Amino acid sequence: MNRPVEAAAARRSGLGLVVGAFVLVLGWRGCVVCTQWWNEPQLLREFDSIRQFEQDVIPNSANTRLVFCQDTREGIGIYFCDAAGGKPRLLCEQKEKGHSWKRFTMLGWAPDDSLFACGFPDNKRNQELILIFQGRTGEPAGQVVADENLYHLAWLSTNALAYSSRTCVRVVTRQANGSWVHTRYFQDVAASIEDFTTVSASLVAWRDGGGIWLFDFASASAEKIWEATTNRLVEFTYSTDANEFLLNCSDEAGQYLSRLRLGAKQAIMLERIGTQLDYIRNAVWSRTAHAATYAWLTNDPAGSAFCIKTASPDAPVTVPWHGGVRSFTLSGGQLFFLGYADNEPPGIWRYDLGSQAFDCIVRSTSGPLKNSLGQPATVRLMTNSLGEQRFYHLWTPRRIAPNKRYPLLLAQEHNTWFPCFQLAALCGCFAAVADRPSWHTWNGQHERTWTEDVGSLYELMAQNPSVDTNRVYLYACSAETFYLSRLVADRPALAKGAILFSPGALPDPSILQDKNILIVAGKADANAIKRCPEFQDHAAAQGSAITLFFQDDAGHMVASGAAERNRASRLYQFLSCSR
Amino acid sequence: MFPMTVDAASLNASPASAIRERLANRLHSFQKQLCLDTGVQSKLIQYFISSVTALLGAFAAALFLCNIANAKLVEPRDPLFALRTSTLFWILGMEATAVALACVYARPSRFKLGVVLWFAATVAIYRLGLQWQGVHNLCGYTASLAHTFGLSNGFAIALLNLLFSYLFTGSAALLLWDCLAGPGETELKGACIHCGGHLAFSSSRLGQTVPCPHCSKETPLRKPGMRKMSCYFCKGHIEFPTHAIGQKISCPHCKMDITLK
Repeated sequence: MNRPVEAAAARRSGLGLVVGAFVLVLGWRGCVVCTQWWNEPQLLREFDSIRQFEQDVIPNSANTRLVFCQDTREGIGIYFCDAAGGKPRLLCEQKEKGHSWKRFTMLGWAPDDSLFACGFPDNKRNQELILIFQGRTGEPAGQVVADENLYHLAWLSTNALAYSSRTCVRVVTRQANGSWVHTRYFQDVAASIEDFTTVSASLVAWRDGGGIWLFDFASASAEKIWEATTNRLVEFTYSTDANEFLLNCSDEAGQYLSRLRLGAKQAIMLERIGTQLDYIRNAVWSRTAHAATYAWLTNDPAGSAFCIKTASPDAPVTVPWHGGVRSFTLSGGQLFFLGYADNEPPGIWRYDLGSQAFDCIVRSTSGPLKNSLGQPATVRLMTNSLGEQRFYHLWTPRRIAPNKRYPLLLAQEHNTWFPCFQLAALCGCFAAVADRPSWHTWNGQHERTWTEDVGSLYELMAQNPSVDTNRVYLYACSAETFYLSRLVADRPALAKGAILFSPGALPDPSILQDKNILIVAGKADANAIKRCPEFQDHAAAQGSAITLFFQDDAGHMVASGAAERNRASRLYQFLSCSR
Repeated sequence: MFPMTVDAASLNASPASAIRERLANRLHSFQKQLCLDTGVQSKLIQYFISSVTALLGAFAAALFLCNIANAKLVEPRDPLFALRTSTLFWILGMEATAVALACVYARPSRFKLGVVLWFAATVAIYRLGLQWQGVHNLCGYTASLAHTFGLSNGFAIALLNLLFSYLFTGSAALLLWDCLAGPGETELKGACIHCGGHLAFSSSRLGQTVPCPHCSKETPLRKPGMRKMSCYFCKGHIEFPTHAIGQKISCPHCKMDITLK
């Protein structure tokens, strides 16, 4: 061989090596990466098809029509449907892009069910609208621009409504030409208005701190008519038929009901209901008898159950429910709730006290789940380091090999349908989630015991021989991240990594070493946009891998199904890589 | 006091100069020994360059793929240049591609080794800079690369360390060997004595006889030079390089077509 031939051959083989190496690398992983949009796991696609529900479902007084809030493909919307069935109708939609922290405010039905209203955050003009619709058809009937932040609304009559901000009250009335205009303004009448309720056409009541206040539009004055002293006022309702308030209070032992007649100074205790682990809501007076009807949710290792007390003197009806509940509303002889049954996607369910049957009025998917996203969890009881009892839900990997150890994801969340934990289990992780106590005790301090609950859950799960304690991940969203950061600071060796969605607080990067952290935040979340990259730079210099992803169009809290899917997809990829 | 006389011979025979001489002799003999191993050396260099080409190609592809796969992620900034990791990966990937292409297309082996050494040294210096800035663990910067290929962070860093150690030590050692072995090879050009076809060969093969790649006849590899001839028609003098033998040209004097011989 002479030199030119040698050189040419060498060049050819060299080029071949370069091309070969490119093809080898690109061929192996490139195809996977380049086709990931088409190769997305089926379960993520299925997840995208699930439109979750938000807030409360609000039936009219006859329980024939419902208004509810549900995720749409690109945002969140208010829907209207017949309780008998049929396709829900989208009345208005707020796109994820430009979505602010303000959500739709479900304002409810007029006294005669002829109208209903909802609050709509018009982010383009940075204002809030009160949209009024026909109660029979859902057709628009008018709108008014709220001149304060809209918190609550109460219908005074068919032609008048009052709404409140945190401290102010406004009255809007319908004019002869059909338009709705502001007619009364009351500034700074309270410190913090909650449970804004109609008492009569000229009186409204609200809860401010531990007291109940009555506001008279005629005299434009507010008067405190009752105050909780040895207990805490959780919520109250008022019956115009009985002229009485029904007070839902709590103390160390649990919740109980009291009645307070309008004009009386003392409340009369009716009965104690449930324990710390139960959650009572929507205690209302029956219209037909002066007896309280109310419902509450209990949890035990066998599953959840609704307890419904009717006007009859019999013991409350206990109705087992195998699944989770987001919120519920007792209306007449029917209980409406947002929740999920085991192995099923979330939906709007109804329990009829007469027929004692459940039926699903609105489903979040067109068909049953096929990819184990509805995988039921095992519910167990534990005691946290404060000595308080907590239920926790445990999802396990599909197949557990005897001599293999699996990562563990720890969190504290409400027992609602939250797919991240099912996804974690499908990724081959254990997911242990302590039930957030507020869901049951309504003590107002949602994440108060996050650190203690998750820390105790870790101790419990660490005893499981299939759990790899070197690969423990913590999950926290928004305000929970403050508690997560505290736990990481207290026990830096506990977790290998963390998953932070819309973090409000971040761990101290100087104590992070060799950690693996996923952060997902919205691009419209100014705080996250500023702090997360700085945190990432510092943590990376300490040897921690921070996967940081900013979602287009999303703010601090995401609204749309697409954004939820995006988060779930990131979590799935992160946990898949961390196996 | 004793008188001291120092002559030139005694100066030449001083211990320092003796050591210098001995070293020169040893180096010379070492060089001769190395020269004897030129075949082994060139083969080693060839294997090394080939492996480096493949490794750098794969490395560049991995970096590019990582950047494509993680395009939507926010990457950390490096403490030295405040550049995003993805930007660094693009730069590093392009450098690696350029070095790989240089290994393919450049001819002098010393140049190839030098480029590889430069690349490896640049990365090593950058790594030292990070160390100086307090970055003792690279996990924070290589995580996206590791995740793209489903590898653990530690394993990815071990692979990178192995790669750059190989590039650095391999290129440095071979370059040193090549330098110690004597002057580098230069490429010469000549022509086949039978057909006049072009031949390019290294200076070390001067004088060897090889089969011509064009006519397959045995031809000696000779130093290039100028040849002279007279035009067949006008007898005018024509001077041309040896590698132009066999070409047909127009005579610069009479413009008739002639073949250079």
